[in-house]
Amino acid sequence: MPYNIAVLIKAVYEDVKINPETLEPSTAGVKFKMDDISRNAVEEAVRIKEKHGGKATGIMFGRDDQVLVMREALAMGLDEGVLIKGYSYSDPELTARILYEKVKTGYDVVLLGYSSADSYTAQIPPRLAALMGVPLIGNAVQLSFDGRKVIAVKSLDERSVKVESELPAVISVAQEINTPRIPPLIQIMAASRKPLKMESANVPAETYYRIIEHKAPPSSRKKIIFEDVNKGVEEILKILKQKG
Amino acid sequence: MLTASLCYPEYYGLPRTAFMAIVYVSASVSVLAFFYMLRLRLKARGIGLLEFLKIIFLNYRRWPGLLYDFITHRRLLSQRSASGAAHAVLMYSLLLSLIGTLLVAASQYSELITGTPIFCGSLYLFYTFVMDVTAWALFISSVTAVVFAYRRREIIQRSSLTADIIYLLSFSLLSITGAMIESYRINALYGTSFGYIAFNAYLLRGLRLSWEAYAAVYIFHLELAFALIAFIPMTSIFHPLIAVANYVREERPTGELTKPFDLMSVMQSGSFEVQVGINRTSDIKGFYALELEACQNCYRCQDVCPAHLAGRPLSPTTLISSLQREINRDAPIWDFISEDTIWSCTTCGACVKACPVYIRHTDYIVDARRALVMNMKLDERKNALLLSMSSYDNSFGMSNDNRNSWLSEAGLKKASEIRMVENLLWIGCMGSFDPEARDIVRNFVEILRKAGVIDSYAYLGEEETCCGDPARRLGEESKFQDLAIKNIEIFKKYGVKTIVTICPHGFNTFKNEYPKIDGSFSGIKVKHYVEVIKELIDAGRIKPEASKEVFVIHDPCYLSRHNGIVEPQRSIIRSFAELREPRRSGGNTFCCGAGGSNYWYEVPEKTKISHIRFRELQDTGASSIVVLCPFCNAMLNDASAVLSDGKVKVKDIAEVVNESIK
Repeated sequence: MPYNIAVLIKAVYEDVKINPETLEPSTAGVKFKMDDISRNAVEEAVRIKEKHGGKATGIMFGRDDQVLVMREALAMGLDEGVLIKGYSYSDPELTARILYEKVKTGYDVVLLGYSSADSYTAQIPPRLAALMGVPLIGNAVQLSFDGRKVIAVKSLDERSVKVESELPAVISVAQEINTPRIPPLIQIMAASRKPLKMESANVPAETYYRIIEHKAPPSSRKKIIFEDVNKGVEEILKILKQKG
Repeated sequence: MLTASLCYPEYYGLPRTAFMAIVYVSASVSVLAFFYMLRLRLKARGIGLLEFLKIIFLNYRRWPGLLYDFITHRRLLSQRSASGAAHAVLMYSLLLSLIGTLLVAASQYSELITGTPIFCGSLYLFYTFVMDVTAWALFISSVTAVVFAYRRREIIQRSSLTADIIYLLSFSLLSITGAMIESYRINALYGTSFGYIAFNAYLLRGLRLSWEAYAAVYIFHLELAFALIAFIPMTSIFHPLIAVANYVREERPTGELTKPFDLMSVMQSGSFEVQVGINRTSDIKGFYALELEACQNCYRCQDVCPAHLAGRPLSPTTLISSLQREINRDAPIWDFISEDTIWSCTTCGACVKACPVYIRHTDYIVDARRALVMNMKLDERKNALLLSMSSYDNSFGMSNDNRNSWLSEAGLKKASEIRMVENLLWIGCMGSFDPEARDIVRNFVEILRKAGVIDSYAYLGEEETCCGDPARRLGEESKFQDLAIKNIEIFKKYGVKTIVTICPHGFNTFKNEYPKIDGSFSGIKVKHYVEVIKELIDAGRIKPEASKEVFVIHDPCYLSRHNGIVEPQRSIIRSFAELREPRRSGGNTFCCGAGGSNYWYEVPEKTKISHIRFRELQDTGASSIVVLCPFCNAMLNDASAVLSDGKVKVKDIAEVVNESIK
């Protein structure tokens, strides 16, 4: 049977430079890219759609300048996209509430990555499932659908378990689930023809999260780079011996 | 015995008017049938007869080169010389027979117009001898050709094989019947007087044909000849005509890939739904489809293919012949070609340069890749390259910030600091990110400094991305063009006059492919650094000191085969050291295994292409291998480490030269 799938996408900075003196990150002029784990979620959504039919909608809580990331997801095969503007910094509580407003009704499956590469909180899947009052399948590495049921293999630290759940459900995917397809540039351009809704989030003035400080941990690394492998190995051994 | 009245007796012993009528009616029917069948054959590929003739005749400027190949038969004789020689003999004997027939016709017309025939006297005797030799040559070569054709029965379609054999045997029949006719005529007219000249007549003197038999053989001979002409377009003997079309159709260098769309126009028009690549046989249309039909499965491409020799699942011969076989059936090419076959190719171009009928195998391969990219059907490694290219605009997936900051320490200026750039040193992805390739750049910059010309050079730094070669050869045409458009903008901004590249791949793509993206680019000169080193030595700015080392040069495909740069590296090395040549060198070099984006992924294989090449170079007994490409450098260094424990040194030409100058 066809499924109506919502896939949640996050855009992250391509490279963040750290100012060595202040240890603060600098994002000026840095491009956005689709978070790697979001790619896996989009890929899985497209595969489910290709196999069972239905519709896959990409939903992103982000910013104006991240529209290319959504286009890329559309080029991968999503049918439409919704970009909710208003994201400023990692606030899982707020993000979950804003996304919840979009996915609370109408979807059989809500797919997303288990944790994003930048803030790494892993809070969105459980928060969303709790808000929606539906089952959560976390860290899925394999999915199969049968009517109103989903059977998933979850990857745990040392073993994997097979679980079964009714739909609708929130499913967070692990990187092992698939190898995402990479759309060529011309397909990304062509995806500008696909429906993409831009909306504004209703961000309350007061939120639970506040960033006090945003710094890279001070590095105690010596950062000695040897380009000649043979000499380098000797030098490294010497230094290691000196340090005991 | 030689008298002026000794002339070719046309229609000897036959009713002249009736036979003239037979000949001219048959000839007209034959020519009409030829064009009718040619039209049918071309129509099957969607090509008009007029269009075909226009292509062939309007490109007359390309004829001399074609004629040279045809006369020398160089592509056929350089490999598989036995079948090549048979082909040459067959082709020449047909040509000589045609000249004989034309002489007869010319003589007839001159007699009609001036009253004197021209095919007389010593010319007549001489050409009679030629024709007698030709008859034997035609007979032997056509029978040999049948043997060669039969040997390839596995790969040739049965119906086509039968037709080919019948056709070839008809040639032998032509030579036999021709000799029979001659023997009747000569023996009746002159007996054995010209036994040494018309030796076939002498040999066949015992045949004693009756007049009826002679007339019948005569008619059979001429009708068979006309029938063979008429049927050319319907048999594989059509291949030389397709070869002519393949040769004259376009002048594109072998290093330049086709351009399936123009990204700039696509962006302006907003219609992104372009058909790219070959997914089904029906995607191969027109001349591109006809091109395939020239293939006669001679295996010359397979013989030189590094992928095939390494045991990868690619034979360019099988690839082309399978496309040829399936072209009339609309089917996904993936029904009969595996993806690994398509990915096995290093785009080295050895097959293209070997093909006697000018098929460009790599066009089909890259087009198949383009379809896989459009359908997003790449595996992890290739996807990783695509992602690096799309996220970072370079093949290493690393930030372009500070990619060349180490160059400032070497004393090279940055383009943004000097605004106008005379000579731009394009460092390339390898030169920027690969530590060993950085040494190549370092050595070259050092040479520029020692030569006192470093101030006329600059580099881009973080503005440098990728030339786009890996994207294009992986099949991601849109990213290639996107990068090219951006790069050309940067070159324009700095008023760049000359681009000097470290990598032959960048050299090739700038030189041959960028002008097709933006016509204004053709004003920029593109050089490979070996050319610059050569110029500096010639100008006396640097002087390498004599060395006792023995070198062997490994020529990069994209420098030497695709772009013909063979001499500079040789003259540089010879000027101060001993140079040995490997089995395959210069334009016939053998790939290191990295080209065509192969550096970034793996294909199932029995042995590594780089190992095959390393052994060839090692066999020369040279102590060092000279490379001129950062990819060759990486591949052969690895091979040397595995196969010789690093005993055979792999050195870049910049390193070799820099070490030899003070």
